[in-house]
Amino acid sequence: MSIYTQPNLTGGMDEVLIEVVTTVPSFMIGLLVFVFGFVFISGSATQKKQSGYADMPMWSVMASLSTLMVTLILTIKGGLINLETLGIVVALTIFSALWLFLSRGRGEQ
Amino acid sequence: MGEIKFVTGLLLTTLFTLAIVMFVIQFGDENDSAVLLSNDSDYSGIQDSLVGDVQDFNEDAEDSVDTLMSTTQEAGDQSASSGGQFKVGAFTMIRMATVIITVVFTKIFGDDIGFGIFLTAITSILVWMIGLYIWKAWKGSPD
Repeated sequence: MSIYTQPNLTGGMDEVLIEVVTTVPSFMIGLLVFVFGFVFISGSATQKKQSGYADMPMWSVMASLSTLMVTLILTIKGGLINLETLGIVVALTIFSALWLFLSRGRGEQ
Repeated sequence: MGEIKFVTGLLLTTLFTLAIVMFVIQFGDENDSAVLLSNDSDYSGIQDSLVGDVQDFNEDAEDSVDTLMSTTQEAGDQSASSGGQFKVGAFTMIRMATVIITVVFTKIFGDDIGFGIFLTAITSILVWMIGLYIWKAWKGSPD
């Protein structure tokens, strides 16, 4: 017994995704959070390990831009993502840039 | 963080915002996307607003340089009598930053009027910081 209605697998991958998002609306939001967290945490942790210093604002911008690129692809087909989510992703990208440009560099007074 | 980095940071943020918004809108148009950022009234309005502010900043900078070039100092003067050359587009900067922060906060936290106090606090401290930076550049204090 499945926990939700199984998608029709004969309509193509995009139709499967749309049916999944229709059934579980938070699916794409979870995917975008995963992309952001993956780039942000793995990038900053690796830099910290290699150089002893993690440039959080820079990795925040990198993670935001990565998330924005994935979001843009999802906007092409209707039903995968809504306008509010796209607006929030763009807003987070701008906020990350604000953080980067107004942050102090390493060793900067 | 000095005044030059602060003003440059705000200007770069403005240009980054313009670039991202225009890129996303253009991406939607060229690919006939189902979800278009141009349908969002906040983002479609921010583009014209910021372009106008950057042009105002350009005029402010030119006026400021003209003021600097025409400033004279007599022997023994501690500073110029006018601080015009240090006020490069400060109020344009406030306007650009306020427009960006308003849209970002509205999108992330919603337009609930009860949450507006956070936006008011942030824009207020931005105005206060820019005022102090102008004073610091002109008179050398406070830190």
